[in-house]
Amino acid sequence: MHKVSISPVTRANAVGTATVYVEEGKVVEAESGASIFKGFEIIMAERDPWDAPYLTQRICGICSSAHALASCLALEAIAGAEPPPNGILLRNIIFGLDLLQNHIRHFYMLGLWDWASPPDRFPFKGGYTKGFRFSSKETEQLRQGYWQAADQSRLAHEALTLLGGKVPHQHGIVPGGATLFPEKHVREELRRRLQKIRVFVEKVYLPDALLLQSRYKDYLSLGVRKSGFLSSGCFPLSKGKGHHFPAGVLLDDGVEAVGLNGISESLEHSWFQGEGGDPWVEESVPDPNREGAYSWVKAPRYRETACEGGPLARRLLQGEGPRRSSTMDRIVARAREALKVARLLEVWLDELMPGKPARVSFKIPASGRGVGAVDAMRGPLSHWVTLKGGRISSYQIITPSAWNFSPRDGKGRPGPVEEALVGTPVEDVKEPIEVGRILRSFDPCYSCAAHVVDRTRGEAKLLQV
Amino acid sequence: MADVLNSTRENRQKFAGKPSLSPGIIWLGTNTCDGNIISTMNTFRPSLQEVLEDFDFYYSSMIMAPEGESASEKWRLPQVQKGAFILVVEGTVPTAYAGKTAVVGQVNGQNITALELVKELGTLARWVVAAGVCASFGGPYAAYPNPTGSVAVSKVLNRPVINVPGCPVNPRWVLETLYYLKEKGAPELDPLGRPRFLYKDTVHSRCEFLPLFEAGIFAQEIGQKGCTYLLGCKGPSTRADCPVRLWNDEKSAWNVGVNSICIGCTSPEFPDQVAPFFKHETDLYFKPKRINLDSLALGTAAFTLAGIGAHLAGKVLTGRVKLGSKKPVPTLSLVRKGFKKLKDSKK
Repeated sequence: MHKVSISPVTRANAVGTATVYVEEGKVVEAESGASIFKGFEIIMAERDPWDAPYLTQRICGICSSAHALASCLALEAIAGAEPPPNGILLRNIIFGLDLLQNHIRHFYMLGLWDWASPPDRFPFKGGYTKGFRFSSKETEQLRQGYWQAADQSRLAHEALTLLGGKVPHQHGIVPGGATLFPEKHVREELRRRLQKIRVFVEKVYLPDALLLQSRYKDYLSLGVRKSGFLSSGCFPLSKGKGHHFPAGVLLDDGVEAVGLNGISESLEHSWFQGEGGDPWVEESVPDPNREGAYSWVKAPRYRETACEGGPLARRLLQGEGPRRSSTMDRIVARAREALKVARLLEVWLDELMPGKPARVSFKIPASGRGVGAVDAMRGPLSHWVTLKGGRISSYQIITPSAWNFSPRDGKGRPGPVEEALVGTPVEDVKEPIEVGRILRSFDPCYSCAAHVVDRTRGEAKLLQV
Repeated sequence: MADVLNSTRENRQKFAGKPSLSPGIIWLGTNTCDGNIISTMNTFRPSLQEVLEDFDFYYSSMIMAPEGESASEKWRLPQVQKGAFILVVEGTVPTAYAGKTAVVGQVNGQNITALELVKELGTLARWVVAAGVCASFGGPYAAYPNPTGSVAVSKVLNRPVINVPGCPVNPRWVLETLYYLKEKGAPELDPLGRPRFLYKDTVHSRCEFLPLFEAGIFAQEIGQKGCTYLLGCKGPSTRADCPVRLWNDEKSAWNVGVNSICIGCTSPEFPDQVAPFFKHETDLYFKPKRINLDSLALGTAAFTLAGIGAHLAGKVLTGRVKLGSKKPVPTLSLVRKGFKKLKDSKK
């Protein structure tokens, strides 16, 4: 049996590690790990709740607006406040643009070199040399797509800046709605950029994703998972309850509504002390020397099931496409979602109502607790906030990458990525290109993945170290 | 000197003729959100493609094609051993738990921590650039109670570090610094190690709403257009060119322009000493502990603050600012607080 480690896993947001055990040319066991721990939840304690949306964005450079959104939803839940329709639309536009930036960047700038041979110069040279199936003409076309994607993802961020002031870590999403209602000329600027991005997704991104699928059909049966798909719902409706992409969980026996008390976390293979349990009451203390542990990510489960989140899970929960989860399904679902969102963004822009407020002002109560759950680009994201005496007393974050890249739980059940990696043929253990293909189809974000529940006692112990 | 890269093509050709001055780059993410490389990838003129042609990026975990040890072996390239490269670090350097909370990769099957690698490469590099506020001063990832014992890059190296703070860094701040290094060598730095040509003025002094501030007209709540000083804007004590440079590279907008506030993300005080973000500068209460910062910067901030307090008090006295509005209007007591802060900081 060969042990194959990939560390650092590059072309991801921050770096992670992956270890696979290969026997007779196939992966028999896999460990997905995050190698950097931040302790952001600990940092959030004692702060003013108004700081949470801006500060928690700093967890992640590629999905910052999703954290702002989840944080606002949690504070609004505590206060019982609800943003006006304009506020919801504007937040959807901000997050939608960030999602487009992410999906475009992911396919080309992060994922492409798993499939197409990269140019022979820095920063692309020196990697794997075989396993590429595109003709030289197709490779050239995809490389051009790469530079176009650099431009288009920038354009999406530029459009976001018109509403958010800057990005990453935009300022437009605040408790109660959005800060700016764009005037007519700004809306026209937005529309111009949106059209360009939509055309790129239609004419370049989606066709390239389908070309990839046609050359790598075998990846429709590699990186496969059977069950456990979760979404917190994406893009809240501006009228009424619910989301454009509905929340739900797809288990063996079909789709059901998400209940927060179905979520638990296990610490068995994570560098923390203790056993885990209910996210509200759980305590954890870092322990980098824990036996059997191999990740800073904890293992969230929904009713004991490891769940996958992201564009494919959202697609399945919308009842679209065959109920199947593979490497290629994930990649193509991401491209299809980009097109859908690009089209929706133009609709939302039209639905904005000039003269109506973009934000409702409200007071955040001195104490209380609330959850803000929303789907980020990669899957379900939830912020669990408890306030006491006007300050944050505890702040917990369960990220999409904690779901997708979770290690084994207390009963030894693998996380979604680990599950998907088992059975993957590895032709050459010195060039395990197949592993990265499957990992990246989940769009890893290691900077989000690692997190710890903050509890006062845990924190005190931590400080003694 | 802000226009080093304005004309691009001609300039680029000019730079291209000086191979000895075009070292490669190792862009190392340590304990980071990777927001600084994402921001830098948003560069418009020159485009990302041009930047990657102008500099050899030996290592950037976000952009490079290699993974695993074929990526980490780039840390030991012959060019790197000779010191012919610029080390750009984003993120803090964690020192608690012997640095084990931040493993940045493996070499020969052995884990390498950010602490080890920053020390190793930081000693070899021709120049060290800290991109973003975390690498420059600690920032959010070293915020109270600093669970990973995170420090700025300059704290683990025995050499000058060029700090290019921001959360994230504006693409042009870091690229102008890199092109400056390439064309002219080290730029003049301020006492906090920031290139002076980028961090000379306060946000306040170049703010589009300065006339409103002067007239004593203030936004009353977030989402209102205008001067957000009373809502917590940290523009007066923050040095950056956001109001005129704008984001994200192509001039489109900035924080205060979208009816929000400046939260002081280029300062060593960020985020603990500027929190709560939405509190007026004289009412800040989140002060768990002092960051070990340059006393000059603190003095400057307090002095600016006191000056502004006096300025406003003058307006109150001359009747240009009305008392009794919903939000607190600066009064003489605030001026006193400002002076007290100045006094405290000198102790």
